[in-house]
Parts: sequence; structure tokens; C-alpha cells
Amino acid sequence: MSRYLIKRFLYMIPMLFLVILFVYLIMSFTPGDPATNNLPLTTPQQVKDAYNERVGYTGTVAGRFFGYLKGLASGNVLSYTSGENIFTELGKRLPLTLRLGLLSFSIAALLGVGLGILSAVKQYSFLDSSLTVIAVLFASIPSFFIAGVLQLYFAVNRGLLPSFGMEAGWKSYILPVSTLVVTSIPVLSRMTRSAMLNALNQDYIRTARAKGCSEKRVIWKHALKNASFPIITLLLTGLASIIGGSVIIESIFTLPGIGTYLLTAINGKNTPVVMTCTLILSAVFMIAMVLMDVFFALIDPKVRARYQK
Amino acid sequence: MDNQNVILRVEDLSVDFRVNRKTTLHAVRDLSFEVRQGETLGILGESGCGKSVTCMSILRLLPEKTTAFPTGRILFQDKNLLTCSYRELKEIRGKDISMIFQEPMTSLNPLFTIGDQLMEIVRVHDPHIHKADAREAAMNAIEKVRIPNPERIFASYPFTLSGGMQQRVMIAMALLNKPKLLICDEPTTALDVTIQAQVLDLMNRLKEESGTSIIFVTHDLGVISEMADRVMVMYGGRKCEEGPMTEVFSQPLHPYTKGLIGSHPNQEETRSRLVTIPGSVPSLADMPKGCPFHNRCEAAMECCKQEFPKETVIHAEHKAFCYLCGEEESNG
Repeated sequence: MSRYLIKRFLYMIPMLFLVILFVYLIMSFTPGDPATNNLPLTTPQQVKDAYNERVGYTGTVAGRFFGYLKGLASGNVLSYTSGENIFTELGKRLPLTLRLGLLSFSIAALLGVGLGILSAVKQYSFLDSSLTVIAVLFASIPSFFIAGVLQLYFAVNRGLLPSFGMEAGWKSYILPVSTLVVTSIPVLSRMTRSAMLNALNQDYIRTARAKGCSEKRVIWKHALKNASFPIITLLLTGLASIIGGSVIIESIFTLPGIGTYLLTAINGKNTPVVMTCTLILSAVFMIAMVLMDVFFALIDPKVRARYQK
Repeated sequence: MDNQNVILRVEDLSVDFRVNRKTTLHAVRDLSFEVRQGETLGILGESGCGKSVTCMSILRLLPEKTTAFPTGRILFQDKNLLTCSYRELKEIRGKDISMIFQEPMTSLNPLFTIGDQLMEIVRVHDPHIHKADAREAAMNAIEKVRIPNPERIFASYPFTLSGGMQQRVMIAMALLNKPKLLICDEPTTALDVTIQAQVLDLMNRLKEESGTSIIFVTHDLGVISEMADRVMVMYGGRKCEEGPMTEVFSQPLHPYTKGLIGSHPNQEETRSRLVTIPGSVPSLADMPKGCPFHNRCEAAMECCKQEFPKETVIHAEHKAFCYLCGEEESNG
């Protein structure tokens, strides 16, 4: 297993290289340059050239790419717009995104999985059908709409909570976190419900009951462990997309996190920032996928046996 | 009949399945039987005749909250299992009454070791037992069912075992707490014939050692003749004949039993053709009125279509549910 893990981590290097190469090519093929995208339309060409020169947007496409790689190796990649080290800027913005993401992820995971188990155990009950209706309803409403409604009611009409920014301390978290939680619970709970139902219908559950196991033991030990594969897959994917998912929510609530950083960078043709953010995003995703494999091997003896060969 | 000897008495058991608001299927109807101390009662019947449902309802393993509705009484040690509390039921399951299922390959939880699952049945009924004691009990059980290399089996997962081995594990598990009654729901149907013989042999031996009563459900006449002391033949959710195994086999009374036994190849006789029962078992949704067998029965009369016949007692041990049998008795 450890040999396999080392191999998986080594594979990540070429994959990450491909990812940034791909992102770089897309960025290069799109029209515009830092000066055109960031300065007013009427700016004279000389000023634009000087601006591009100053931020480092010079030389050939390939040359700039290798320049970026060199900078990455030494940990010193500069942003076109601010001229600062991107990692320092990320360091300032990452905590907010992580706090927001992890907070809403944990709440959504607990509630989503909990409600899913509950509806599976009480299948066909009133509770189960109500949860189904609510889940389908919220799963079909896009998050920006929910965010807008929440802003309108709690911030504009009632004035209870801020509608944007991070100035109001913990109060600023309520609306973005609620939006994220409300939109991610439905998928999680539906998935958990079907995984649990599938497990609960298996023959070994009948065996466990026939053995005299309590219903609690049947559900939490025998069924949940078997149902955990799709649940963990979904949870880890959710955890990995915290950074990517922050783009929408942070731009709706104008929060100074990585999401807005990435979005401004894309609009401003700030290629180094886009590449660095994508790099982190995909690295996190790949690590999550490795963790998933580790988890499957820990739980499923069949998978484990395959690695031991 | 000595009442003391009866360990399980089922009275007027009916099991209805509510499929949707309009349809209710009667899987088992007015079934009464008893199991005595140390005997093996064979339940014989084609698929869909309610054998498994009967077994499941004894341990209340059917989805009672949503679809299955058993009525009647199942008396075990003066307790009605159909109405007793969940806590009492949990105590009985796996301790006083154990069960072995048809599909050994799916009846063990794939994510736990054989040892874990064997020890679990000890530990859920005796939470304070030392792990070492539970382990010893489990190891003994593995040895009893003659699985080679018990140490290795103890630590292995179900997917590494063959079906026969898995069924042995299930038997070991079912017998671990020395139950008074063992319910076997077609335990050998999914196994190869040679493995089948080994498993049956093993069960007979274990039964002799422990004196456990057994309910043995099967559709296989060969298997039942090796196992049962008494036989109950079921058709369409109802009992059609009950009696000592040898007597039912040599002098079947109910037309269905006759058909079943006639359709079984016999090594001694060299008949050219086997007898078959025309048609097939009707689905539960369109079970005919009256005697469920009447539309396949060659001797069916008008009364068979109207009402299910009353029990005809041939003698204390041998009973049948058929108008014909009653006639025979009154004539002779």
C-alpha cells in the first residue's frame, strides 16, 4: 500500500504540470493583455506597453511560461496587478476561504448524512417524504438565487445581517454559510439515503437482525459501514471543491477570499495568479482522490487484498 | 400429544403483504403447526408457497412497519413472538432461536472478519463476556463445523471463502449460543450437490449432539428425506398435508403431495416417465378462491372452488386438507 501511495503522489507531478500547461494555453489564446484588461479603454498604447513591461508581461508565450515555472520553483511568483508575491497574497486570502468552506462543509456533512440516514431508516414515513420534497426543491434552486433571496430578506428588508463583506465579524458568515449549507445538503442526504437503503436491504442485515443485534447496531455498524463508500466519495469531493466552489459564493457576497482573487485574476488577465490558484485547486483535488483510495482500502478487505498482491 | 414437548407452536398464522393501497397479498393463510423437542420438521413446497415467509415471521424478520402484516400467534416458551416487545424479541433472536439462510454468499457482512461476526453473536447476548472467551467460543464453533485451519478462517473475510465454507460459518454462528430451535431456510439450495451432502451430514450430526429442534425448509424431496422426522407440505400459503416423514412419502394423501412425490425420480423403480403436476404455481396476486390447488388438481370438484377444506385427521400424527381425504375416511 505505501509503495502504491508513493507512486500515486509521484504521478501527481506530471498531472499538475499538464493542468497548469493547459490553463496557461487557454489564458494565452484568449484575447487581451494585462494592460488592456486593467487600464481604462482610452489609455495610449505607449502607456499600455510600459505597463506590460513593468508587470513582466514581455517576451514570447513559451518564455513567459518557463519564467513562471522558474518562479514557482523558487517560490517567488509575482502578480501582474499588484506586483506582490502571489503566495503572500494567497496567505492573506486563504484563511477566509478555508474558514467559510470548512464551516459550511462540516455543517452540511453532519446534517446531510444525518438526515439521509434518518430518511433511510424511516423509509416511506411522513418524515421521509417531507425530506424528499424539501431536498428536491432545494436541489433545483441554484445557489446564487438562494443567496439573493437571503440577502434581500435578511440584509435589505430586515437589516439584520450584512449583505456583503467581512466587516461584521461572525455575522458576516451567516448568510454565505447558510447558502452553502442549504445548497449542498440535498445531494448529500439523497445520496446517503439511497446508499443506506441499499445496504439495509442486503442479506447480511437480515443475518445481523437474526443474530439478535439491536437496530442501533444494525444501522450504525453493519449498514453504515457498507453505505460509507458513496458517502465518503461525495464528502471528499465536496471537501476538495471548497476552493473551487468559493468563486461563486465569494463573488455574490463580495468576500476577500481565494474565489474573488481568482475571478479578478481571470478578468484582469493575471495569468500567474490564475495558474497558481488552479495549481492549488487541482493539487487539493488529487490529494482528496488519493485519500479516497486509502479510505476504501481501509474499509474494504477486497480492495486491500488487491494492493497486497 | 405431550404439551411439554412442544417448543414452538404456530396458531392461525396469516401474513399479508400490503403492496399498495389497493392490493394486499396473502402470502401465508391460517397456518398452524408445532415443533417438538429435538425433532426436525421439514417444510416442503414449491417456490412461492410461503415457506420462507413463515420462517421469517417466526423471528419477525419481515418488513413489518411498511409491508408485511402477520396475524395469529407464534408461541415460544409461553411468549407470543408476534406481540412480544422488541427487547424480548432481540433476546430470543440468535440465542433461543437461530436462523440459517439460503444465500451463504450474501448472508455474511463483507466488511467484517469471520471471527468478528462469530464473536458478535456471543457478545450481543452477553455484553460483559471477555473478548478471549468470546474468541474461544467462536474458535470452538469453527472447529465443530469442520472447517480446516480455523485460525486462518477466523481472521479472514467472507469473500475469501467458498459458498460451502460460508454456509458452514453460518451454521457455526447459528449454533454458537446453543439455540433451542434452528430455522433453516433452504440452507443447501445454493450449494453444489457434493457440498450439499456434506452440509446436511454435518447438520444431522450437530443436531444429534445438541438436541436442537430444527425447522428445515426446502423444495428438495431428497434433502428433506435425509433430514426430517415430520413433514409439512405447503401450497399457496396454506398447509395441505402434515405427517411423519416416512408415512407422507409412502402414503401421500393430498393430490399435491402425491404429485410432488410422483415427480421425484426414484432409483429403485424404473418407471419410464415421471409424473408431473400440470401448470405452475399461480402468483400470489391471482391465487384462486377455495383450495389454492384446485386449478391444477386432476380430482378437483365443485366444492374445491368454493371453500378451503377443513382439516382431515387420518390419525393423531397425519393430517391433510382435502375433500377427497375426508371422503376416503368416511367411506372406509
